[in-house]
Amino acid sequence: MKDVFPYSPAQVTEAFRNRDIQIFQDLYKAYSEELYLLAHHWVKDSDLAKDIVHNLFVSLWEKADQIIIEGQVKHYLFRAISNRALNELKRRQRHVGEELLQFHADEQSFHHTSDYILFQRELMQHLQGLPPRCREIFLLSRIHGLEPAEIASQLNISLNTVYFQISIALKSLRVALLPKKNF
Amino acid sequence: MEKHINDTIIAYLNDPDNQELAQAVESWLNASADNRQLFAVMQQVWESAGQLPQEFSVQEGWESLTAQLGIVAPPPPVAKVKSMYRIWWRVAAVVLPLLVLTGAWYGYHSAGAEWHTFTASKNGIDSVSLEDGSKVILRPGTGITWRLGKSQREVRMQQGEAFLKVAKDAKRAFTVQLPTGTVTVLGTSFNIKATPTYSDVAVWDGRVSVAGSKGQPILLTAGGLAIIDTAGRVSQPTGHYAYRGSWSNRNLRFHEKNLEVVLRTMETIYHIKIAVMDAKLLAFTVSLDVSDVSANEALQILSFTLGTGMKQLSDSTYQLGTAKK
Repeated sequence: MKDVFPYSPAQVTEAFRNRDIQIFQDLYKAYSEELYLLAHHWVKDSDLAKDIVHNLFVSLWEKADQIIIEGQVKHYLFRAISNRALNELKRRQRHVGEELLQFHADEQSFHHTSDYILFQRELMQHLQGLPPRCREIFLLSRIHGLEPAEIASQLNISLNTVYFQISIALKSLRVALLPKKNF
Repeated sequence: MEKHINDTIIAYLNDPDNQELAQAVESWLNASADNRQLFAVMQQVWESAGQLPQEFSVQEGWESLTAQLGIVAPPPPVAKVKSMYRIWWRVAAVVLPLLVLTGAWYGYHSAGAEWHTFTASKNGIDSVSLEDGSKVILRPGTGITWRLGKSQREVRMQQGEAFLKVAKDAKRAFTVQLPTGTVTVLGTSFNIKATPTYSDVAVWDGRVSVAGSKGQPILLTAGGLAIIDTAGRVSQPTGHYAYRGSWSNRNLRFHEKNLEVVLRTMETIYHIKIAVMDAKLLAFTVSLDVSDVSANEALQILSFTLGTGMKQLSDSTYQLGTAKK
């Protein structure tokens, strides 16, 4: 499920020096989705989260010759995206949550948040595997916040169908995400 | 039975404040430890899903990134075809020297220049000052990239709307590359609206040259508008269009414009709603040239010009004219 990014921090630093597009692309494909989820976790705004990820990679490419990655590549990117989210929240004079401040200071908080993002990523990827109608109804319910009756009306289907499809989605997701539990 | 309790749980998750549903779930939870465990997991998935953002396409994100950075991703590896080798060597013998020469020319003219990027936030108008003193004001979500070289200043814009105040520099032309055309200026102010299939350019002051990928370029002066269509053809409708840049600077500049156009433009600039109480007013055309005024002041001037009254109903709603009895 998870994309493998096989390069060490030194190799990525060297790749930046050499403007290696292939490794830059691999880096984007391996981490952009997790970075998007993390940015969204901090700013609670999908469009802004997309912009923050986009601008981070633009900056990485433009300042490629000044970048030195020490420690894990993922940690470097997670901290960079969190800094950008923090700056964006401050710039917009929006509330900065305690968790974001802790994230910078506390290694344990970093790992806790990383696990949560990984779980969200798996959830997002399992959603992709649901049957199209089932996925559409579940997304309308959970991501767009529509009530079952509103979904039924919007899709011109019965309320029973909405409940049935949501229960199918929930069952599929809990089985996929928490396989060690007994149901 | 299972369907019934599933529906009840989903209804409860949707409406946790509903006492009747809460009681039904509670009695089911009390029936067994397995039920409690199952519910805990369902709730975790439910709540986690509710925290998810909208979907993210890695491929679309990558394409947008490479388009902005002007980089070309390496093609996926393909099997080599031996018989083509000789042909490719011949092609390379001709093309490579040309590429080297082109690269050298390009390198000289853009030496030392790096591409920069700026995207306005989704929530408001934003601006960026370029190193040459030019200023770009952007509508929410609009992005530009730019590079200022020794002999040319280049801006790229894919989508959105921007007002550009270009600093004079006779030695370095200033160009804006749009999806289907190019705008060239030396020092002026103008408004650009761009989409992948349509772009237009309205000049506030000075002159600009607008070229599509087809046909002859058009020279625009203050108030002029050029439209570049999806095929890259440029056309110039008649009329004065300087007002198209008003959103960026609160300078209201209308020349014999229909009142409807004036009011809709003011609504956009000031984020207000204006109700017209007398429909006959909409038949009027208006000429107006005022700078840096509030919505209230602008509507007072307008109502005075039209010989009618205006009223402010709230922070963001106004009415113009008097209702006919």
